[in-house]
Amino acid sequence: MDDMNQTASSKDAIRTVNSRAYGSFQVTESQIYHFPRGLIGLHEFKDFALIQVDDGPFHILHALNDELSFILLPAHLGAENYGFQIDRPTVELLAIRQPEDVNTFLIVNAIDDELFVNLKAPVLAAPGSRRGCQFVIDDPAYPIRHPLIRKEGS
Amino acid sequence: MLVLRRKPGEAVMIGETIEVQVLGVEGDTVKLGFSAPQNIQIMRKELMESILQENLKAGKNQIDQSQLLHLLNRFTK
Repeated sequence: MDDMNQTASSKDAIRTVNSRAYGSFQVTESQIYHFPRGLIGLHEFKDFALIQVDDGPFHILHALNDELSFILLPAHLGAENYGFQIDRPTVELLAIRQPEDVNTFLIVNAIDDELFVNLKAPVLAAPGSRRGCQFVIDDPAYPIRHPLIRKEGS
Repeated sequence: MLVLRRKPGEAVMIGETIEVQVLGVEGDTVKLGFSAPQNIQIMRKELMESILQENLKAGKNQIDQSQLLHLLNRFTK
């Protein structure tokens, strides 16, 4: 979606996010997602802006009213053969009808100069309903810390 | 902490919408069934705590994050 790209032009902007890390930026309605459950262990934060960074693969998920933000990577760029079933309550929460209605992102984490992605608990974002959640995959094959390795030539 | 004794098949209500049922007991393991509204997420405590710790590491470290993002974007170009 083009209108998810970067920060908003002032015409469409409905909201200003003040961030110590990223400065002050404006977002449109289409970039604002409601997370009814919050994120895991962080239930008090329910409204986020989801912004693509400089047309690259990375996105920022930034709490609208707080200094809380995450770097996200589309799941297919962070892991191969990554797949999971979404349970019925989550389908209803996201108000989606088919898998194509939801984008899956991995949270990027830097630990001791190494990059990891969280395969266990991806962020799901549905552009149609502008709802999101952090989904926990019930599969021991997916770790919370998976090394992020650049593919040669990509 | 409230302590209740329950037999297999019996249940406990938390508020009016969350039900916890004892499905069975095998040795030192209790099998529980939960039903709750969709906005309540149910998972093992140790799993939730490990995801929370990872979320805090990833989400609260903002100044590093903007520098990290700068590096990441150079990395992918």
